[in-house]
Amino acid sequence: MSDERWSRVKELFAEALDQAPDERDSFLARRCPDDASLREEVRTLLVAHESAGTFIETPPAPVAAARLGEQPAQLAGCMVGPYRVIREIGHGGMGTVYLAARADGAFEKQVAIKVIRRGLDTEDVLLRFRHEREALASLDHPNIARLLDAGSTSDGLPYFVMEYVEGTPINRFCDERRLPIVGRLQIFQTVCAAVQAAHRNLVVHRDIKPDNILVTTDGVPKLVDFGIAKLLAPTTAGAPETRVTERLMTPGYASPEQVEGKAITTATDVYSLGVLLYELLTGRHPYGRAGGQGAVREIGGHAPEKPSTAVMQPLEAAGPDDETGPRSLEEVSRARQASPAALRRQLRGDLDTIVSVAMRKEPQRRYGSVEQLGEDVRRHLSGLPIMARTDALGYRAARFVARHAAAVTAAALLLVVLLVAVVAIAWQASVAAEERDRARVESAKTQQINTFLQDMLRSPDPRNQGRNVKVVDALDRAARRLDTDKAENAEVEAAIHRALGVTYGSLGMYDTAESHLRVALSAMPTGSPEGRAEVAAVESELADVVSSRGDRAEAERLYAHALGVFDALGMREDLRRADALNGLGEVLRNRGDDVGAEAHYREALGIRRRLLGSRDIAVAESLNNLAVVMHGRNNLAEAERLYREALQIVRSARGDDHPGVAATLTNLATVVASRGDLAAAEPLYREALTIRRRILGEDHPDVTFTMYSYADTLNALGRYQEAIALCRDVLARRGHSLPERHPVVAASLLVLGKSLLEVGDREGAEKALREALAIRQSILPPGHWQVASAESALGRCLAKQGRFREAEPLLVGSFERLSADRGPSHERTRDALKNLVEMYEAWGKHDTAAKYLARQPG
Amino acid sequence: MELDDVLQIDEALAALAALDPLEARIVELRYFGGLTIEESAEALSVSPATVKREWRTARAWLYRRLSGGSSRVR
Repeated sequence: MSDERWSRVKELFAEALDQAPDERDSFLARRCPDDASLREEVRTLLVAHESAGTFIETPPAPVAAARLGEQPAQLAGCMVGPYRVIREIGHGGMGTVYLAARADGAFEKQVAIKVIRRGLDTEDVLLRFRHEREALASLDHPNIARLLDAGSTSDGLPYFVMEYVEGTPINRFCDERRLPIVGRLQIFQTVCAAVQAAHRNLVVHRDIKPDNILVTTDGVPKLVDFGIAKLLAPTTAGAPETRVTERLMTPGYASPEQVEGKAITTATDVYSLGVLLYELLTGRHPYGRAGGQGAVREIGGHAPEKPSTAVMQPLEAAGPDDETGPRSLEEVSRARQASPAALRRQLRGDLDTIVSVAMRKEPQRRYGSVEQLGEDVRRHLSGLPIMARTDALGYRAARFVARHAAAVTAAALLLVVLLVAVVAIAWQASVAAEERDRARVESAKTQQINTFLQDMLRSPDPRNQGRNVKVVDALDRAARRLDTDKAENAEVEAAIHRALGVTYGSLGMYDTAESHLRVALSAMPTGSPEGRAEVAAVESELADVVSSRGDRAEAERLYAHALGVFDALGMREDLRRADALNGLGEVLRNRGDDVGAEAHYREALGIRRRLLGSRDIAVAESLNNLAVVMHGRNNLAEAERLYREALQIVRSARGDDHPGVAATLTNLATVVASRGDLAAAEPLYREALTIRRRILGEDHPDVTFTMYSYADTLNALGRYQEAIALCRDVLARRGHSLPERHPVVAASLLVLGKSLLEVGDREGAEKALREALAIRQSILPPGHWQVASAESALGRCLAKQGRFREAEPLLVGSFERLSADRGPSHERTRDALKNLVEMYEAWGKHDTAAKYLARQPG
Repeated sequence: MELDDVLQIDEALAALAALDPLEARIVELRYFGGLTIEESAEALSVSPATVKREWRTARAWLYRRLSGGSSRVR
């Protein structure tokens, strides 16, 4: 039977069932007079329906017994991982939520544990459970209940542990505290900020309602059950009283598209927030009582009554299954400390508009993002005019450009380009899936588009400084707007994940970037050579991210694999291969293998020069990297030459405000400093830091790195207090934007230690230097010259304290190793020698000192 | 329920899957997995109304098939 016919059968079957049993035959005769076999098909189904009785209504005995025997409370008192379960606080379709506490910790902090229900651990469900975990893990916001831990019970059931939020649902909190409108708006803004933060991580809540926003006694709102609604049903994870079983979605807070089963987007959350705001302002629900079926019918129909007029109406009589809430107009006004007339005045105008725009039927006519909603609330509170007008907002880039064609700014252009490029990538992906023959031609195009897109994204418009994440918002929105065929879905989505991954990577958000790229990898087609080459390219991009994060070993593995693929495919003159070569070169250089690094960089440079010409920014990157190697080899003149060439290319290609400029400036500064011309180096660092701060934002790893380099120069220039301040600033980022044992942490501790020593804080210096050494020892291979460098610094510190016996082995050993590895003329070797000689002099061992002094290069 | 019956249902389910994958999945979840309408709706990302509707059709179809064919009325 064809799909169409079957659909027709189902449709008729359903409609027939709505008729009275004895009218069904005539109904069928009316509805399909010409197709006897169709009528018969439906008729027999109807007969079966009537005769089926309890056919398959209940599962076969073993399953039923298992379900019946399964009491949610069974886990109370048991251990789930390191947590002891106290009691159940909610259960639902996918699992149950328990209150628990750590059994071992000194600090008995309570947590909420969600365990997946037995029998539901099918592959799909497990996958989605994992996605939920990942979505939650990526959310780190003070107003969102945090994911703390995850694991499997001894029975093998997956669980995850969340922050247990003890608080009151937001509407009750506002009523109990009698918050006036202003106070309610303020707390609402905080909620918007939290939801927006989640949207930036591509997590849509889908079930925003008062029960899911608990406010602690300190007045801090916390969103619970984030992202859960996207994959599983929500279970409330807090509040002192027992929660009732949840439904799939709370009808009162469901948006029209949810009710109709259509696509869910971030606009869905905007809608729900609008409903929430309505309730906070007026004390009632826009469509009558929150739980009713009537609400569902209303949602798709006419718009609700404006808040300013609604607030004057008497409340509907409370039904038996109603949530708690104000029961009379008087209660409503007392809870807001204003009479109904006063409330009407406060709500009329802006607040009416804000609510109505948020609650529009058509998702695209609402606020474009939760951020915009929050922004308008802020504007209202500040007495500024709001952005929303009663007619369409039109915040989509395409519309924006169309309306302001003459005055298009770079920002809008960027958005348009993104939309175009993402669509192009997606289209390419789908083409690649079908047309294997045209692969070569398409791939060149894809390469160009990819490079173009990535390049655009890597150099955000400086006039948008501080709004880098908006670029990702736009990409996200564009991605959601793509209407793609079911069949091509996987490849298109893979392309989008790839674009997102690369973007996040360039913004320094490495963990998010990695997850997107891994998703892309798992969904890309590998049927054709071109397909496999693209997969290798994404592997290389993933390696870039992983490498930036500090995980060099994994990065090396990925690069090597990607290169192997290119070689196997015979694609040697290929820009993607050049990228992988470049990346692997970087890893090798970090490992200390300068020879290997140089070879890879040179090969990459050659490919790029031949394919892109000598003025291309990718060539500048290669020049820069090669220069770094030269620098490490102490070939300072060559390094400086290469840097200046690279800098010139980047400046002419991208202008002064480009990350590439900053990178090259930093490196050039380092070389100039190594040459001994510190005075010339300082302004270079300063400029690099300024540029990076401006275009990347404070928390970007590159800013951190520049700060450290600058501190190093300041230290060498004798500006110790400044160096100390900068280092402390860098180190303060440990734990959030800087991993604990990142090479930059070690380097900063080293500079900090050296500076502290100079200003007389010997204890502080020793502590910092020991820590720096420990970190380097743990992340670098033994005998690495940077470990030696740290040892030498520590040795000097000990020598200054008169602890010569401890200092001697460190200083001698490190000097010898540096001398052997980096050569006698290298800056660090010289430093080490100096430290060693000074120590012996101070110790009184002048002969030994002289012996070493003789080894000083000319 | 005899084992035979369950096996027969399973076999009929395979036939249903060829015709209507969603319905077959719903039957799997509800009959073999013991899920409620709501739980199945969550698992499949569809509305409960859809599950109810499809479940009704699937049941009728399976029952008809196991009763020995579409042309006989019991």
